Amino acid sequence: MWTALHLALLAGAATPSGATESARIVIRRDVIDLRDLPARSRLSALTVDVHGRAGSGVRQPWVSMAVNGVVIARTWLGRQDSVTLRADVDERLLSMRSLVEVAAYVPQCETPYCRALAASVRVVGPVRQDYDAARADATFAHLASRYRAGLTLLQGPDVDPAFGKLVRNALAPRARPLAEGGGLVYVSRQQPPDFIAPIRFDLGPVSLVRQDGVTVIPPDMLDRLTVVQVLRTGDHPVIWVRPGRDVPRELDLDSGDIGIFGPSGRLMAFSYASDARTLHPAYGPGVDADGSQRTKRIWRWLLLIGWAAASVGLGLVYRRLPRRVTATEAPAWAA
Amino acid sequence: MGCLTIGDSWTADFLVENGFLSLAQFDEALDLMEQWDRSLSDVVMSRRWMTPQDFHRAAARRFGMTFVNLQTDPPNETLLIEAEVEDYMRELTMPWRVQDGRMVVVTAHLGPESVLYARRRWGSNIDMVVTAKFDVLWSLQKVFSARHSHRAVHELADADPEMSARTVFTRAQLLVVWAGLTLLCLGLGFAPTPTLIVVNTITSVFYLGNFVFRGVLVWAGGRRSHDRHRALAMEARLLRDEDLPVYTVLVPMFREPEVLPILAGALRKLDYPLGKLDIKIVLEEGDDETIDAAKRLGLEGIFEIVRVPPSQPQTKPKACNYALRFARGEYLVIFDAEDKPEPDQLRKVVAAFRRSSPDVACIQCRLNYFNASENWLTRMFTLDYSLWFDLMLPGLERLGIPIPLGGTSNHFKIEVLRELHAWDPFNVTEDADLGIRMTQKGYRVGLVDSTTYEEANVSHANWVRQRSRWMKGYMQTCLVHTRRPLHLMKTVGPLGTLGFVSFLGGTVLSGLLNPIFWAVFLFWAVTQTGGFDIVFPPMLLYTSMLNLLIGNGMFIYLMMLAPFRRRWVQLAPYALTVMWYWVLLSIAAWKGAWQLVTRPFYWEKTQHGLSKFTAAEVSSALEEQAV
Repeated sequence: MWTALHLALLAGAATPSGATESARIVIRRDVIDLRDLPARSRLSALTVDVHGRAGSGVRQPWVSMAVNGVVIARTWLGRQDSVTLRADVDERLLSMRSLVEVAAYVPQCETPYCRALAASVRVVGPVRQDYDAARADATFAHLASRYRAGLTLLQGPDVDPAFGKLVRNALAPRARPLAEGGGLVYVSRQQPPDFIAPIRFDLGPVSLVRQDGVTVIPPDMLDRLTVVQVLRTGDHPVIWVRPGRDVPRELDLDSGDIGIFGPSGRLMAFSYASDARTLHPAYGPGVDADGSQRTKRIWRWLLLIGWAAASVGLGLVYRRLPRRVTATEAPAWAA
Repeated sequence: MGCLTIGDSWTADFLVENGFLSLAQFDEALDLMEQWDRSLSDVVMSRRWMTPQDFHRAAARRFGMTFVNLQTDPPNETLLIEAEVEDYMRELTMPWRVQDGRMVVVTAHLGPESVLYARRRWGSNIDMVVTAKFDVLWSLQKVFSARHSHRAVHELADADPEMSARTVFTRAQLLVVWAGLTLLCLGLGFAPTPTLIVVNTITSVFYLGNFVFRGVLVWAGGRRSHDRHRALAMEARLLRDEDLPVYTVLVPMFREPEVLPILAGALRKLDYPLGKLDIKIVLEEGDDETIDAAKRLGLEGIFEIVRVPPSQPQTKPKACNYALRFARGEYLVIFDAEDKPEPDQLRKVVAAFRRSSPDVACIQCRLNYFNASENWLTRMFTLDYSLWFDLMLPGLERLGIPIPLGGTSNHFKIEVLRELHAWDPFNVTEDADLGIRMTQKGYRVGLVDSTTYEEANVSHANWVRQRSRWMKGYMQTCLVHTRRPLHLMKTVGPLGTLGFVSFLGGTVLSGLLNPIFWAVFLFWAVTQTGGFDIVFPPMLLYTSMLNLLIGNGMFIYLMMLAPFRRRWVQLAPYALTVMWYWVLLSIAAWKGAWQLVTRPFYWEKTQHGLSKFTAAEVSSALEEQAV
């Protein structure tokens, strides 16, 4: 299906024919920290005003805006002095700290004159941000604004208190601690009641495997590491920190909705929703952690029933086929 | 010019002397006889100066012969031979009874030809009596109705079972369907994602091919050959009446008395000698309302009424097969009851047949609608027909792809029609099937730029009924002709096979598949779910988008182009609303598919006469007739 992301990727991939790197100048580089967004909001659009010296003919500068390296807006300065670049931002492009770059370039630029044209372009004012209400689907990055409203930390008695501080620093360093109605962080060896975690530890040994069957993290290693996961029930996400043997140096919850940490920091982070096919938890034999086996069984039974019904139908049609005859039975009058 | 026989000359004198004809009528009759090269009886009856009964009674008196009314004194059935019915009909002469050891032959054709025929057939020891022209037809119908009816139903299926839709699915076809279904279920059960990607790829390629194919057809069909059509029109005008052959016009009807005046008016307006028209109104026995309407309009004297005995399947092709037994023409055309052919159509067709190679066995004329501006549906239907008949069929002709004939205005060489066992009564689009069968048997179908105007459906329900029958018929036709794929390939060639399967099969398949893909697209558009991403890898995604945007856009564009040929520019914007028309098509396709399994031979009757334009046409036709 066509998505805004595809469009953005396409736009990013298609640089103007003949453009040279030497004429491309990054004129503004900003970092948007999602933890600084207003509470319960999400970044929906970016706008920037650009001013430059207009060229002539084909020697006219282009300006573009990119988020984390993906171009989301581009325009031609043309014969005007200034233009406004504005683009909707797909949440999937964002990380906790997203890099926004505004660049100017002139295609087929081989002369000092045209390089000067590119150099003349500058950003007027800040990169403006538009916000929208936060959505239910969430990664660590998207949850940041929700946690900015406040953070409730539920911590088991057997857990090192340093974990709570780590999480707060990672997600909402400026949020009031233990505020009611804010985000919920649950630090425990047991998963929160009424939630089902993407990686479950209550079903016996679990490992992370790739689609081709290669084990990325074996069960005994995963058991020693700290695993942070976003759990969802409707519109109520919870961050569950399953502490490992050692407290990590820091919790870098930048992207994805599952983070795995060793003593020295993050080992990997991925999105369970979009990467589950390439990387997924594997349990011991007979364990149906997410009900997929059950779904598969039901699906196969339904198919079998459908196939059997269709086969019976075809069989009935087959039985109704007339005998192969070369002449019809003689009618009464022909006797 | 034809020459006046002595018999006719004497009869004409007698009719004037006895006050049956005025002197002015006498002069006109003599002129027309020479001009048309037809007998006095044909001229007098075509002008409705006398009824057939009165004419032949008077002629019998003139020659001192006995007149018999075959309805009260029927022939001895044992003397009639079924294989000779066509001869009896052509000569209007047949054995009646044996009296005093002599064969008595009855004739409605007064002249030396009938005497010669009778002597040649039954020897010189014969007596002759006279009867009315239509008595011959009615007697033969009565005697042979059961046999003809049986043959009308089973002749093709018995003689050429592979070409008949009597067997809806063959065992091999069912096996292929079952194997495909099993494979699909296995795939969905054990490897759903790859299976769905494969299915998706196949359908995307199908859609892409369908768009490209139709684009090519319109491109080929749009290259209009003005010169050819002008030359044909010129040749048609130059044809002399006396050189024109007898033309059979079959008008199958069923409970449509209200549109009869349109037909009568249109046929009278044909630029063709009435005396050379063998017009047969084909009615189902028991359709008293239409029979009574024909009598009220006084059509009995000009048009023969063929009553088809009841039998299953009760379809139009069966009725036509039955009536074909009594056809006397060299060529034959089918018109629907509410049809208004352009007056010079028959002449153009005769000219086209004469200038084309001997393997051209059928000429299809264009169809369109006289009530295009009535409502949205009639406008869309007109766009659809304009695209089909004005652009796509010429494209098929140009590319040498078998042409599925349209419902009416297809003109046949009657000998070839009989040789091919005529229409398949089990196929509900018998015309499309016959076009393909003709090509498979080595004949060709040509097109002539002459239009017959019909009544477009004004109601959605009626339209869906009609279109579901067409869809079912296309399915039947595809099933019949793909039973032997190699044979099909051998007879119509690879391009012909591909074209036939794409044209008819593509029409049906896209109707069936569209709702599924629309549903997927709508679901995605509303929910923005990423669930479908897995079965749309990038390449497939872009192909699907190409089909969705460019393909459908191209279809809309082609529909907009269609009415330009007829300068009906005002219809072009309606092409933008074609989406709902496609929805109706899909409903019809699924209904047709359901009926293919449950009631394969059921004929979904299209109700005619619902249009306000038709009502106006009827009153105008009645006024003209009164004048």
